[in-house]
Amino acid sequence: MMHILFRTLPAGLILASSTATLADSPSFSLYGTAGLIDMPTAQMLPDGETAWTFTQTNTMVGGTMAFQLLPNLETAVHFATVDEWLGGTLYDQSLDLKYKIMDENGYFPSLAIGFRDFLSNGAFSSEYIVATKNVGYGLAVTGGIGWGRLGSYNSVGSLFGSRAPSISTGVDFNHFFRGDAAFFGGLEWETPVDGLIVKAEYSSDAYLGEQTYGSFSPKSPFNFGVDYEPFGGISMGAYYNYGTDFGFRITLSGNANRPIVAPDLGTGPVPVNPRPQGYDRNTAWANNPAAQDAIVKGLIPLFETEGVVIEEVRLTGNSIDLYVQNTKMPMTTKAVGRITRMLSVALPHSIEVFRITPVSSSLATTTIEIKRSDLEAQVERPNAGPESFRTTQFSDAENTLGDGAWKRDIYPDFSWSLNPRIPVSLSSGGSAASFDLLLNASAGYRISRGLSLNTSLTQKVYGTIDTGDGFSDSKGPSLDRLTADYLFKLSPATYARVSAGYLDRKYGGIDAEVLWKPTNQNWGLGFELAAVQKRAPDSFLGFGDDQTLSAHASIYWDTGFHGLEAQVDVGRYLAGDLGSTVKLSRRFANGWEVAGFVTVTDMPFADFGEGNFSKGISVTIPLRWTMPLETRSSTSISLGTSGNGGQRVGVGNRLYPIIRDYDVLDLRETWGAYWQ
Amino acid sequence: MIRQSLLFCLALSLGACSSGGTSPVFSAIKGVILPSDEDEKPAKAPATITRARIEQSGLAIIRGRLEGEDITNILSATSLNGTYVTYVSAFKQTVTMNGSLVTATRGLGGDLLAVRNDANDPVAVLTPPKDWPTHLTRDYRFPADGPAGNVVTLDCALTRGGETEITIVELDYTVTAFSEVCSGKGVNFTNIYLADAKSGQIWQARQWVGEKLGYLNIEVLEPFTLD
Repeated sequence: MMHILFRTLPAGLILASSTATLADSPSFSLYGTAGLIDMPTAQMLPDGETAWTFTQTNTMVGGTMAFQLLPNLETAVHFATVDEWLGGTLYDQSLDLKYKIMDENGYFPSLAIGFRDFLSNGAFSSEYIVATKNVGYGLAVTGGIGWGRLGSYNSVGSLFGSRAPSISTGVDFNHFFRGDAAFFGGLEWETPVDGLIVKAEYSSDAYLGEQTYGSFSPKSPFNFGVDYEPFGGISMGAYYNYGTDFGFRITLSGNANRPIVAPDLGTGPVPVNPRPQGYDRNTAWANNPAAQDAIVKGLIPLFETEGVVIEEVRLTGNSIDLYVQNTKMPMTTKAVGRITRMLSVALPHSIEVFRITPVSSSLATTTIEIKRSDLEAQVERPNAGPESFRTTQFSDAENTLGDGAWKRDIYPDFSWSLNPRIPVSLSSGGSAASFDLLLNASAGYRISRGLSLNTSLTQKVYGTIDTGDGFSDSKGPSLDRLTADYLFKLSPATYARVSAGYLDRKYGGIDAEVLWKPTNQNWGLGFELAAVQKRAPDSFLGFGDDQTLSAHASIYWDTGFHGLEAQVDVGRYLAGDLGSTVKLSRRFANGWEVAGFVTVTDMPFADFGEGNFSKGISVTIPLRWTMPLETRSSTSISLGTSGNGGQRVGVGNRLYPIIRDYDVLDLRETWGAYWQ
Repeated sequence: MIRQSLLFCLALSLGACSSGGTSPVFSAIKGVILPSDEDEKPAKAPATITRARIEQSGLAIIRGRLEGEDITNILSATSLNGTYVTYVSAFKQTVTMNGSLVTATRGLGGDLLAVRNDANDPVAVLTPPKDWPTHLTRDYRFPADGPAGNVVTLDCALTRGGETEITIVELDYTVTAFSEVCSGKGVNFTNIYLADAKSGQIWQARQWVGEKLGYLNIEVLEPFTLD
């Protein structure tokens, strides 16, 4: 049980979900982004804010995952189902962007430019420029001009040429700011009632498609509504729109920068005392195997208290090389700092150099070299943070310390886990939402470091999701994975993996990957080749007839700017289509990650699925953010499309995610935790 | 067949369990609402602190309490680095002081990483009250992205108050009260020191240790000396 020295911790806090939205958070629109009702505002969500919104109106059922990617850039993936559209039901997905050009300042309003359905000229495609000014007494005034859908009511004409009809679902940028433009605006009043906001707007959206293809008949451009936030993190809205329509919204939000539990709550590190002047520099003990063994056996339980497992050790009279697994602490630098302190307490005085190499999924990553005298000179001093980073050396590690080193004797090693999962489909089978309750069992059998057998089985307990390909129909357990995996290094900076067997629910075969990623470099190159055969949907182990070869070259780039990382994959996907996937993610030092991807291939529209490309967004939230205990566990939520095109084998242990936390740039980012 | 599936997947960790034990979430909740047998063992009644016990220990000892919290804790000196003394509690949470200036906390829930003080800072360097300066500067360092963290530079104004008598674990002291108003980078706070009227040894203090933790109240039961 966690013991708290100064602060008491109510159980309710542990059980609480994402709460504590900043007081100055703007309200949300029906599009799930900062806005009025249907119209946008120039306001931004707080940096790092993630918000999940679900909406329903007479014309649309929608869902949005919004993320404030940068302080001035709001992004959102918006999903909508419109029952009456072009003679059928429209399942639309769009990427919405809003960039704040100018902050509110004195008499000047904040100013933003925005795009709904940025990537294509689809049903919700529109562009706008909008200004918002807080005028006091809780009142904010918004005015703007829109194009596309937002330029369809009472337009003032076309300013920059004509615009094609909004029926495209392929990637298209030619429509920006073209076609009719129209003005919109509105008011937002934060009432004296805590959490209650009243809104009114003049909409420039004529709902032309809904009128043309369906029975919607707007009677007024004015919309009215109330938003209520009973407590931080949950917001609801009810609206009366267009003189005929009712709309409802619920939004759940959280922020990487506002942990529910203080990240530093727990135990402190081992205090360091410097070696005395004229300490014993005799290294003769190092020639005594019994002394070496005693030291290692003394370190093992000491490290276990911090969740650190020793894999390999080499001791000399004046140095120690340690290969360790950090099983508990979310930040590697915190683990390294605590290891260093423990070494300074436990090791003979003659040992001056500590070389610590974190091992991740059997792969040795970066060797971190710290001089004991530097540690003693820096600890508790005002400049310990920057000074310690300056004096620490980083290098690519060999995968093993080689012969003569002490090695942990744990192989073979068996592990297992049992996890419930609830996938929710927003448009599966034409229904607005359906879900499954799945029970997943996974097991691993490690034969040696790097070589393992892994399996994963899923049993559907309840559910209605139909993916349409036969794989979701199974009543019995499905085999999601049965593989032999070997992870190793070709050189200190080159990682490799070979996986063979049943790779995912749909494919079996061989998948091999190589990744070159020097630790001192902020980019890396990867190559992956998969020779696979499609599995039979109605069989536990059987295969179908389709065989294919999939190959991708990848470049990974950690920009070092606000934690943004980019990944570009180019190659041949499983259906034989050629194309590229671009993935952009923002990672926070505390482990939060929000990522989005777009895949474009040469597969024809009709074969691909929705649009000519697939897209998605995912959020990973570390449990340490919500819990007062050291853990590296996390929860992921993903939202996206899956067409026939742009698909890759669902390999669960790709190399870059395994090693990316351990390069110099990432270690530098989290170095503040070294002294914690 | 064209598939139009929008997957919204939530991997629930709450109910997960594994060969490594139950999920950390479950364990933590269980720890709070279902204490184990071990946790239920009646704790020993805290020993009353007496001057004799303090002297018997031979340790420098402080008593600390976060303002607004009910719990007061005893911390004893465990390491010395330069002029920085680190005190540790029974729960392995630590407070580091340079003289009487709190320069670091660990494990309390909002770590103060380090503090830089002026050479003539009377809170850090023993100074008779008559010689205390009226102005000084400090840099408070908190965790943030990068090795340097977030440095808050503050200007502080010291104001001398009157003398009073205090008693700390059976010993009476005549102390001079000082208030210290610090501001900078959107941060404002007021520290209070009760310094020995002659030597300047601070026996009681209320010190700001960051926006997350607020004020830490410190009583020096036995000061650190190199003897």
